Amino acid sequence: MKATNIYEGRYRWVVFGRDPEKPEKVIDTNQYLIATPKRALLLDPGGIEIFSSMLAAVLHHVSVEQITDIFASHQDPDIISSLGLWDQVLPKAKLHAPWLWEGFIRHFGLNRIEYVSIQDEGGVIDLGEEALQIVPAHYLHASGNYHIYDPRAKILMSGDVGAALEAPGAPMFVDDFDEHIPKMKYFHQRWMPSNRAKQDWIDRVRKLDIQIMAPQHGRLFRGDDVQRFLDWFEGLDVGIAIGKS
Amino acid sequence: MGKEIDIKRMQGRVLVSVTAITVELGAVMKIAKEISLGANNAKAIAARAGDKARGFQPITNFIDEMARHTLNMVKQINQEALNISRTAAAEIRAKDAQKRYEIVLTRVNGAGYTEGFGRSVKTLGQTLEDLSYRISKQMQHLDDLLENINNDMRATTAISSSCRVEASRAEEFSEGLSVVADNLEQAVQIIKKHMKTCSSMLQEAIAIRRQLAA
Repeated sequence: MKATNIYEGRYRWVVFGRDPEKPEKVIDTNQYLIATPKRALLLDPGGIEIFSSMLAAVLHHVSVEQITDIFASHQDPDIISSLGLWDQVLPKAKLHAPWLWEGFIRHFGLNRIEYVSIQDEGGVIDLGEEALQIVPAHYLHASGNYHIYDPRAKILMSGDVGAALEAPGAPMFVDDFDEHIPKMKYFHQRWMPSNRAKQDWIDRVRKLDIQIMAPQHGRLFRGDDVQRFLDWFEGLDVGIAIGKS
Repeated sequence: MGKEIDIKRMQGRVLVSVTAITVELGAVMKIAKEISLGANNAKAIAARAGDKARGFQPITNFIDEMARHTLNMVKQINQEALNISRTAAAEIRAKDAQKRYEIVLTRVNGAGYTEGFGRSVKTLGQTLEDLSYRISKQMQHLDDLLENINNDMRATTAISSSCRVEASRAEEFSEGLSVVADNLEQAVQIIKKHMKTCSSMLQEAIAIRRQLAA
């Protein structure tokens, strides 16, 4: 699995993805690690099928004891179905996940890890070095959904927002925004159900100072491409399956 | 890959076999309840028959007691089969984790943070040993319970014969009490059949586990 540092300061952000060992029909996902000297947070650690590659890649950066926190943006299998395996390997960790999905996520297997419910209005995850903001992103696409904003690194981990369906081995960053649009248009129109929820999120996110927007699938956006994405998304009609049945 | 799929199928078969025992027990529970109702019916006939069914009256108490005992045994068997099913599911999950940990071990060459993970691998190995031991004990216990209920059914067969003899002496109540004896004998045969199926499923699960261990 490819690991790329996307921020280095008092702590590091690493993105993991483009796993060549991944079964063909399993959607490619980006997993994120925020590693401070003492603690580490895994963001959307992924599904069962990529667990081995993911853990092997993570052990190049931190020990299992260092991973004290996991964040699950929502309940989907590609986000957190590996939970039962992490539960057996992490000696002491907390899972920060939507209150709405607790009863559902527990089906993946949760015995040792502590479930910390995130309320509708969001909250913070304090790793000591930096208090990360939990930004509500309800209905984008799950009904209980959050993103993570790091004000020091100026990174927004944006879950399925900004996601694209890419060919295997695609680069980690968008290099030509216009060329990238066809890869993400259908994903947003079909998976995102609500124009109202979309606008609410855009209004909230426009107030943040973002250098990198880091989705869970496809390439990351940096610099001006972040604003380009927000403008494009604002003009996009979502929830297109309504009336198709 | 093919071997791995076979092992997974075999592990799945163990899980299905022990879980299927609980399905068989549903039918046994229904029959035991019917026996209990039949015993109440027999008590009523015997009471009406008075002295003519004197020998039959204690038998009705026994039938009622036997029905309750069978229900209780079936509940225990059901609980133990569920326990095995849960342990077998936990074992499958732990084995899956072990397989994935082994892959991790092949890929962490040069990684600087593997010590803690090594401890997790060891702990998982211990967990698997514990689960394996627990399943063996649970299977043995279930086997004993099935053997006990079979012994009870043998005793009940003898009672149903006495029942028939006593019914034949009850003059005009003979026919009604013979029906009770017939129903009891039939119920015992059906319970025995279901128990045999349960035993076969348990033996199949035990055999597969032996194969997996080898």
